[in-house]
Amino acid sequence: MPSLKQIRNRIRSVKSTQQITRVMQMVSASKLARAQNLLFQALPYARELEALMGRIVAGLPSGPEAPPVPNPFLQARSEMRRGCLVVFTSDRGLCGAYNNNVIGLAERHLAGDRSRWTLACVGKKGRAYFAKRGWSIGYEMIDTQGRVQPQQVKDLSHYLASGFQSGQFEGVLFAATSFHSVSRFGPKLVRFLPIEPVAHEGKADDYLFEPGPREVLDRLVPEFLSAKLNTTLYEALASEHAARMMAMRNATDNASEMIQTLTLQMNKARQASITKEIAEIVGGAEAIKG
Amino acid sequence: MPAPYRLRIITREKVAYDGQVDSVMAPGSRGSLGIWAHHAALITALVPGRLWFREPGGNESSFRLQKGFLEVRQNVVTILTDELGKT
Repeated sequence: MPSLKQIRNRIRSVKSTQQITRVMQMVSASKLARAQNLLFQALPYARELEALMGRIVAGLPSGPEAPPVPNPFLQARSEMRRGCLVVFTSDRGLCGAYNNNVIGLAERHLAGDRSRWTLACVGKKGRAYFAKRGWSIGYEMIDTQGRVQPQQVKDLSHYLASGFQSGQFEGVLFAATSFHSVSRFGPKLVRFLPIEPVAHEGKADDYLFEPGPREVLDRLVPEFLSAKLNTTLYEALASEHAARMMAMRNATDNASEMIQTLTLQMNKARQASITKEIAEIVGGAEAIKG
Repeated sequence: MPAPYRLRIITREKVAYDGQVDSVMAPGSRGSLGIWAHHAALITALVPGRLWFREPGGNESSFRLQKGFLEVRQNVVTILTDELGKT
């Protein structure tokens, strides 16, 4: 049985840890609100671009005789011999299973095939994980300082687009986290390149293009890709903060429970020492009486 | 009296406008583009210039555009642009 003093010290230390986790929980909550806001602001634009892309592609001539889609990023490949996988993790830890989930998904997909895959890492956690296991990291985007930095996004998007165009890889996949709500988010694998247009329902529209389909696509595709990359990053950021908030809430709750148990122990120890003292006094008095 | 149709303007940050208008003028890549109701399906890349539209009540608005896209489809005009500037 630990002494009264030892228990008191432990309670004090658990309390100060709890204070820290509680503050971290609150900080994450406010960061989450901000990230969520940014995501929901960016979504209508990205969705509309996606739908527009789907409608344009549906309206292009198709079939075996048709000319190829007038944009290299839209040309479907029959197989992907060399690919690039972008792993979206966080720079910092203490966010529960957030990073593990994404890394697990990436691992399953890579299946250890180092000759086939080029790895690109967003966030220090993913880079550290794969570097430790001997993967060479083709590109990294770290130190985002908890924000989506336009210049970094541009550089990453340039890396992916130029690698795809030069044939260094024939496809780009994202292992990221999709965010639906504070309690609903999880890892997902999405294709970035070549672009898979969303299926368009109903009859295809017969569009007039000004100046022409090729020129419109030349301008639309980069915009589409950058919007897609941006929303993926916003989703990852919001999920990270949500995961951290939940992890910290659990830690705070655990600390409360621990303080309760320790307080009980402390009271028992105190009572035991009082009982012992009384017994000694009574015993002493009995002895004097003789 | 020109028939009203729906105009939507969506920027990177928000849905900036969604309502009925009776005419739109936009800086298309082949010169300024005037759109009335029941325009044929069209997609164009926009160039820097002025976007102008009039609501059925006669209310007129105009914005500065840097770049973007304009789609006309089934009597709905959608403008996607990265930024809208006040004129």
